[in-house]
Amino acid sequence: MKKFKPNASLLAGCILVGLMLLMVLWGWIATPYDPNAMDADLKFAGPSLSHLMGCDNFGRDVFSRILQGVGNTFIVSVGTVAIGVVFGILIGGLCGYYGGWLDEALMRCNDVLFAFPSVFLALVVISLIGPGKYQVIVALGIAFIPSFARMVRSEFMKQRNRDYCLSAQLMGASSLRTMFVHILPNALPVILSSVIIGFNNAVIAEAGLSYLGIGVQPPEASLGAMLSDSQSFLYKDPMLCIFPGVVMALMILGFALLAEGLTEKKK
Amino acid sequence: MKLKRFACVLMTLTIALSGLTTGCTSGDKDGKASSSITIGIPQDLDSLDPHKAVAAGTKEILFNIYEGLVKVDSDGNLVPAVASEVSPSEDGSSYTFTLRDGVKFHDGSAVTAEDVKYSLDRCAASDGDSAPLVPAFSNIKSVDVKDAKTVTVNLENPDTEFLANLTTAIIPASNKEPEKNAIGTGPYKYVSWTPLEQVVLKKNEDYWGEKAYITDVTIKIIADGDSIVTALNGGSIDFFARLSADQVSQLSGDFTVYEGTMNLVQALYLNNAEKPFDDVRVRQALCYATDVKAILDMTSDGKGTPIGSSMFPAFGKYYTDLSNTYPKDIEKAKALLKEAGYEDGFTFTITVPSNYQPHIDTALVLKEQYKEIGVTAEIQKVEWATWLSDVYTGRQFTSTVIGVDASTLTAPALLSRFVSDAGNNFINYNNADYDAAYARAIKTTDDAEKTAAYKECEKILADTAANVYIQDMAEFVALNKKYTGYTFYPLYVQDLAKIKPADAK
Repeated sequence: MKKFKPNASLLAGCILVGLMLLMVLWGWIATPYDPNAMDADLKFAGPSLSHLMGCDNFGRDVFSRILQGVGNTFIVSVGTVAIGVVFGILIGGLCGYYGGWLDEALMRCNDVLFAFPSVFLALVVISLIGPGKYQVIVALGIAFIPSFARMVRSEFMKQRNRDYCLSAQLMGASSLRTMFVHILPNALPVILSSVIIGFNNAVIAEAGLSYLGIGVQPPEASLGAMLSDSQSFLYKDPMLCIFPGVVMALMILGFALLAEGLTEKKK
Repeated sequence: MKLKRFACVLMTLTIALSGLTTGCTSGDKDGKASSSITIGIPQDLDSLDPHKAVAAGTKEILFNIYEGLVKVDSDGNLVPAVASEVSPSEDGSSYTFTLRDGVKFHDGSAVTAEDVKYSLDRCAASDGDSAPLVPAFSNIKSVDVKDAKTVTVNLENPDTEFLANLTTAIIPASNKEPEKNAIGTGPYKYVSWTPLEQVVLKKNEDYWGEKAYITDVTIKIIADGDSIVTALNGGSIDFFARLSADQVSQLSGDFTVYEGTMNLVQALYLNNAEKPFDDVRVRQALCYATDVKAILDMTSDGKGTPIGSSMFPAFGKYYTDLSNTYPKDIEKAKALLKEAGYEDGFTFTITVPSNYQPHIDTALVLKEQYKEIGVTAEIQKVEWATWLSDVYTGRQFTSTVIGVDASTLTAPALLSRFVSDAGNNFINYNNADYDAAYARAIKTTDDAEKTAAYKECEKILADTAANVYIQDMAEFVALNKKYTGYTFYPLYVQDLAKIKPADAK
């Protein structure tokens, strides 16, 4: 067992991600105000003690909306990565372990998916199943599968001829057992760091789709949707886009540092 | 790493999208502003065929290309256009038109009586089960060509208001593809249309009337509502109609802002055939729960005129103020819901076209207001094309926030759609009293009786809460100070021919 030695990136990443998780939890339990409650008197109110980040064009509390938005963005990211990883491991694992015609067939399908830029793939799926928070998870999840599958496949190919694998097989372990009990744990470190990078990309992708108006549907908040809405008031009230923008940047930075920290640790 | 590239693609896409409309300028800084103008519209045209286009946003542009026998002026009067003289028979059962001398189509050919007959017959044709292209034309018995310059329109049932329907575009009988090749008689000629991008028009030098001032008009489609202000301030468009109060407040000093009303009926249109809105009590409950003043305060700084039925104030003669039919009353709304069996409220979907921010904003405020009576509204934003096909044509919706305009300056333009079997009755309104009152209004030749019957129609719509009527929206038009002369019409049209360079005399 390697000894755990924290480095600066890892530490900073953990703090930022921790903060984000705290915000997500806070948003789930209670927000200072109802994130959708409108108040005509507070339209475009600036930051104050009662409204930390001010109010938007409907007089809704921006801080409460950011808490809700971070939560939504987080759910979408987790869901997306979960779909990508689960199917990625299944497909990649089977291909990498068995090889042969199965590998050929599945990987060619994978290539077809790869041939489309992921965003457009997601857009196509959205146009089929309609916009919405959960639809976006499915759409992005599908868009994320190919890259995970490919990564897992190469890892499984590397591991399957190692001695521990062969001995497991000699001891009579079934293929499935060899794959998921023996190989998978050994492939985990590699998978883990790409999962974290995957989170990062999912955050950006969710924001992008919500920005295009096909992600989380109004009035529910998501960081991307808030950015998109605030764009109309860029001149009038720049604060409206600065806050969600900064929060999103910190969120991505946190994941990026975490991933970097983990990679460094391995070396 | 592929994942990183994915992130890159997304970032570039987002950035590219936000910057799309700011890339170019109109290029008339050398003092030759007179020659061209670039205007922005929020949605693509749905057809170039003036008889088949249904979207108000399309018709307002086609107004510049096509003309009917008569057309509307900015005061709402019907003035002769392709025809120079109109003589209706006394009882309103036939109208005789004398064609104006020297009116030419954009392809250079002269307008003949045959073209007029072709155009009117085309709009009156019905294949049996569907309504004619112009629903009011089902009343046309025949169009007779008397001589090369005279055409008579004979009606089945006398209708003294029928003239207003004859703003229907006259197109050449020789044009086999009006979908692709727009040929009319208006002050502007059609040059090209790049779907989702732009439409180009050119001044019609042979126009019979007062010619347009500006030679080249480029109409850019800016479907992303957020980039309108940027496009205006950045100089890539010079004109945009129907801005919101918020958008106007962000404009730079380069613009003249005109304020008027949009002349449309904005409402939460309810599908009367769909549960729970098939129950009048539920519809009334929503009306009682709606606070129109709060909507105006929230979305347009209080600007806009509350209305209570399918008629807007610009129709002075037929308009009665019904906006107080349902004052906000949460208790009453709850009682009505209870009566209808929805004591615990219900959930419904509001479908809104994603390119009309004012309608989205209204829907958002409505959602908040309905929370008070335990009703949950879910907002679904859809593309304009999807809205047209699913909601308007397909009637597959529960409710939608939209503005309905009048295509002609007659009461039927707004009221005929609520007759039970009307082809454009997209809310599936079905009320025998209404049908009877409407039929009476059409049939009578007595003006006072007609007006009374139309007003009764409006009252029935309000009393049965056909829709949750909201407002005739305030309209703000921004025109670059390089130009002047913008003129409001009581109809949903943009008369580009009246816009002139600010320095012209």
